[in-house]
Amino acid sequence: MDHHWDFASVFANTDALLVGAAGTLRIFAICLVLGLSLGLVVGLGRYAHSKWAYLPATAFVEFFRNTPVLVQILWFYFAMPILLPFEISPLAAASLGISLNSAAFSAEIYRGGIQSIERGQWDGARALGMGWGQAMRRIILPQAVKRMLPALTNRAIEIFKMSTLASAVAYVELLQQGKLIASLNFNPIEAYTAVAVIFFIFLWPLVQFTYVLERRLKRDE
Amino acid sequence: MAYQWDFTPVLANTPLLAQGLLNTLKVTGASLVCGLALGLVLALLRLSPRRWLAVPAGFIIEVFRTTPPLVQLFWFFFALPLVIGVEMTPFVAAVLTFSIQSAAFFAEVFRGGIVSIERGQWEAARAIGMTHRQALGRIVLPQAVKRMIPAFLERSIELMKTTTLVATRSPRRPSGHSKPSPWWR
Repeated sequence: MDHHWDFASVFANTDALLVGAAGTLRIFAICLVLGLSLGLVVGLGRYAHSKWAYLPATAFVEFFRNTPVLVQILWFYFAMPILLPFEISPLAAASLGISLNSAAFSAEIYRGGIQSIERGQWDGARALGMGWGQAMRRIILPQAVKRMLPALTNRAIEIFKMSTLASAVAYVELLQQGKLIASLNFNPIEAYTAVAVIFFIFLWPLVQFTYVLERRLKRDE
Repeated sequence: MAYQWDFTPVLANTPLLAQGLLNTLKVTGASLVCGLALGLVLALLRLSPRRWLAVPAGFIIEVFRTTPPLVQLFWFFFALPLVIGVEMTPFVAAVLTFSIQSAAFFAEVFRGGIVSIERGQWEAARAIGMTHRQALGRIVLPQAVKRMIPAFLERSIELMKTTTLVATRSPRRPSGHSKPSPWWR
């Protein structure tokens, strides 16, 4: 079967793709910041000794890790406005779903990083008279962050890819624009290939960066 | 304003949900089996000293890891039938997508596990007179698999959750039953 390749209509719609890319970057930035910072809070809760912090944090992590992101996004978009008295935009619903999901995964990364710092550092901090918070902020976290960087960068890559799920609630991002181009010009192959190529161009440098990071950190150890 | 929780329609439709769950398990199971097999092949190709095998394998792995699963799904659902001229059911397209997608991730897990076995094991196998293939199958892989099990479990759980993406296409998937129809259908 001979397919007639039609990339011309894709190139004619670069403005639509640019709008989509802007939307993707916007939701990526929001979810990256929210997810990684909330993840730190939840991760500290997971590491804490007090069960008032530990139990809610564990419940949060277990819930958001064991349910698919798409289901969470759809729930926030369709179910939450009925329960709570305010409207929610597609961006807010998708951001909430992706951020909370990423926070749950990041929390485990933070917890693992903090746990990997040997007890001697804690003892040293205690000997100097630091409280739990001070020790965490000045001694433990700065060292832990170095070890967590590859895993956190992987999380960032995953968040970037999860941004495509926002198209399920009709948020204007790259995949949504790809669908639009495909349905208007009847060329799904070219449209979706173009979308895939754009994602690849965005993410490949980031993936290579994680490899470099891992190699550099392994050398330092 | 108190919302009246009403689960009775949901409970009344348990057969529908059960059917959806069965489909999820079918897609996950099929993709898992194919993905593991394909992942092992890809990992071995990637580790091969022959550049003409390693580079394309590496390229496939990178492409399927850096593109979003939803984009891959759309491509396999819409574009692939046109490219190869074969009509395929949503089930086949979904299993194909998730098999290759999880194969890319499994390949990295396999590769990491195999690489983590110290050189001494390879050298000892060579000293006994084993070929590369024998060393791999009898010495290295059995030890590597033990280390890779947590990562495999994690990826398998991710796979099961990723299968929900099929709901954006076919109406015969779990969340597809209760989702309102998008404008483009």
